Amino acid sequence: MNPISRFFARMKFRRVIKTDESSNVVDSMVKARKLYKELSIATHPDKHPSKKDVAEKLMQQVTANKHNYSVLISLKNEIEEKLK
Amino acid sequence: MNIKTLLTNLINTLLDGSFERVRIISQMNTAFKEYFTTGEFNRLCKVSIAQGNSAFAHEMSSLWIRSGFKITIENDSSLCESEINGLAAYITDNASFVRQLMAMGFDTLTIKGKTSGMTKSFALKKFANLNQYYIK
Repeated sequence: MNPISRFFARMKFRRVIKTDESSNVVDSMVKARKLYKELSIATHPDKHPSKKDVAEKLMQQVTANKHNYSVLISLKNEIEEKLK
Repeated sequence: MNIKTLLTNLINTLLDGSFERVRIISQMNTAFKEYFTTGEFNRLCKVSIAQGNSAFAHEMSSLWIRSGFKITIENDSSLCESEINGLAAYITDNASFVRQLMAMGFDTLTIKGKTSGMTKSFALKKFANLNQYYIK
């Protein structure tokens, strides 16, 4: 590996190790409750009679991760794609 | 490895991971303060290192006087036990954060109201999902 690519690899590694769960925990304490309510309404199986199975699975995932904001954010995108 | 990284790692090892602890605690304190001042969160929380409960110790625990991870709620009027449990759930349900805390030498999570004195402690090892790797 040449010095330039080694430098960029090092920078990337430093960026990766700086992102830890502490900020996610604080974000979760502040924002997760509201997002969980929003997503549990959006994924309610009664709202999607044609895609009941998908909605049920997504609702289970939302309930399992109701205290994790970053997971809820990724689930929000998934819900928007699957339950249009 | 350059000399600066070597020295940092050496001091970090001698101080038992203090750099990482201080970084995480200051990050969390900044975030809590920002959310309180912007009005997104009504409780002002302060994170600090405190003494841990020796009954909750595990193999990775540091000295008991610095093995507690304490969250103090500064404005604790009408604080109830269910609210403390609710706040604790955000930490205990996040297994990767619990493992990160355990790796840094913490064994006890304490949540305390500043003026009411209402305190609850939790053993971190119960929430790390390390069933197959027994922790005493």
